[in-house]
Amino acid sequence: MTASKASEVLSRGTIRGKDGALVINTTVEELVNVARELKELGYTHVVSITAIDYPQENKIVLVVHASLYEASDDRPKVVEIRTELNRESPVAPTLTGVWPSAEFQEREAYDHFGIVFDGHPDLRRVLLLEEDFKGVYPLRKDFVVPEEGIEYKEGWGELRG
Amino acid sequence: MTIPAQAITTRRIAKDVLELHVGPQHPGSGHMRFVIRLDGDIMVEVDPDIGFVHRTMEKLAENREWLKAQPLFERMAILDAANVTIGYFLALEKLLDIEPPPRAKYIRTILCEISRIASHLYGFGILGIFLGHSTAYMWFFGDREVFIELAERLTGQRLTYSFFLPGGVRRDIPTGFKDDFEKAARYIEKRLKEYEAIFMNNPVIRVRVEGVGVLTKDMAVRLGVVGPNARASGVKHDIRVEEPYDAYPELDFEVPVYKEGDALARFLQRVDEIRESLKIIRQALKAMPNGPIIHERYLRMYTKVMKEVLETQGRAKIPAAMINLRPPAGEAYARAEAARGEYFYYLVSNGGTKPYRARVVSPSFRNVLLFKYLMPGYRLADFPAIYGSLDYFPPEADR
Repeated sequence: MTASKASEVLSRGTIRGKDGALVINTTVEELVNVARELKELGYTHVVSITAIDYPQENKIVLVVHASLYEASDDRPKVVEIRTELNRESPVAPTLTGVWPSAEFQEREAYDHFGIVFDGHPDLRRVLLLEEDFKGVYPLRKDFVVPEEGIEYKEGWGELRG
Repeated sequence: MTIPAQAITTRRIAKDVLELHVGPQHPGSGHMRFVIRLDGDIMVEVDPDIGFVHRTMEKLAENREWLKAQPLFERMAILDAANVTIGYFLALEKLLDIEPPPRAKYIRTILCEISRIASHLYGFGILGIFLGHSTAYMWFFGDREVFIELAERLTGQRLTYSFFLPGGVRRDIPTGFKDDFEKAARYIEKRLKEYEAIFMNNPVIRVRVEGVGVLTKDMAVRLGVVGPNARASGVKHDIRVEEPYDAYPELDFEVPVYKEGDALARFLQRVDEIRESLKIIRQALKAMPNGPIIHERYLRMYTKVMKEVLETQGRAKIPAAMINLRPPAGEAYARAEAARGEYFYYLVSNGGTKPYRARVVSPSFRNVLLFKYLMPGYRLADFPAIYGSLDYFPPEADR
């Protein structure tokens, strides 16, 4: 039974040579179905939900990593689900219904990338303050971190009387 | 001085429910706030408000060369610096397609386990002070110093070692380290017995932690809890076994598991893990092979002076080319078992000198859900006991 489970998982995507993760490319419409199927195959929880911003291609890729506890067969330990979103108004369905462990992860992706998770029970910013970052999503590439730099002014090293 | 209008607004909350704000400057740990709704003294709703020490490290890492992310990520949890950064290097090495030489792997594992013991002792101290047991707090923090000194002897630093390099480590094991460790190990083994008398079997402590904050296995799996908190609820999940890295596949150790899932089990879980860590270090020091401590790809870049320092003093200098490291384009993830649980790194390279995207998920961030779902139903007086037993570390969760 376990062997067929492993092959069923493997049939859904491709194994990445570098780290052995199973990569599944999907669409916004199919995302929840893919997640539900993976959960049935034993992937009990979400490790990370994040995104990668590609402003030149005008897209944000939502990257979900799911994993399992105590695996004894050869199912891949980590599954990576990639979904392309429209950069102007990134909206994705929430995965909290499938994986309750997604709750704070989705809040973080909303906080950092402005991705709206449709149906999330409590979608608020989690790490940043709305007052300071209204409409600003710092992990997008167009947000530039101001660097202080190193500056020297005449007389700085002298002792003050 | 005028007070801005929004600071003095009020809002109506449900009748008979008291809204209590704990933090962000509470005496136990600080930099975290909880909004707790109380019915009598029973918690009915807990909303963890995190982010007070958020530094947006993932963004800062995008603006730095690959190697410079180490001192940055270390600051998520400086008390466990080795375990926090090892995952980053494992992922980076997957991108570079290199593996450190065997001796370097053993040195990494030894430092990681020293770091784990020190971190657990810190967590015990916090639990002690949360429960008002200041003797335990002093004892645990004092004994943690032994392992900090041990790490200092190996790395030259007490907490923020920045000890790893892609494909190696910065220093070789110093002479006499084995004896130093043996002394420390025997000391802490003796002390663990003394802790039992003053802390674990102390009836005043027992009543506050036994049967309090019970996390069932089912709930732990559903919420994706990691680390000792999951293992104390019967989830036998340890990255050192699931996806072994460095010297772990060659070493023999147990993964302790408890099934009670209460605050006491979480504490005893960590005590058992300290014993296992001692076992791992003992074995590693014995089985450690001789050889180089840095990958030959970088050893070839060494100048004559750098080679001399490496051979005579066992210190690996950083070759200039390593600053301008350009991993081939692609993505890789790596996981590592830190003292608090699983660290997950996901790195994206576009072939440049800086990461295109560096994602890190810390165990504390994953365990933060417990505050929301585990606390309700218990008394407010249990709050510090449960919080302390979770070994939650705000800077780690906030990143």
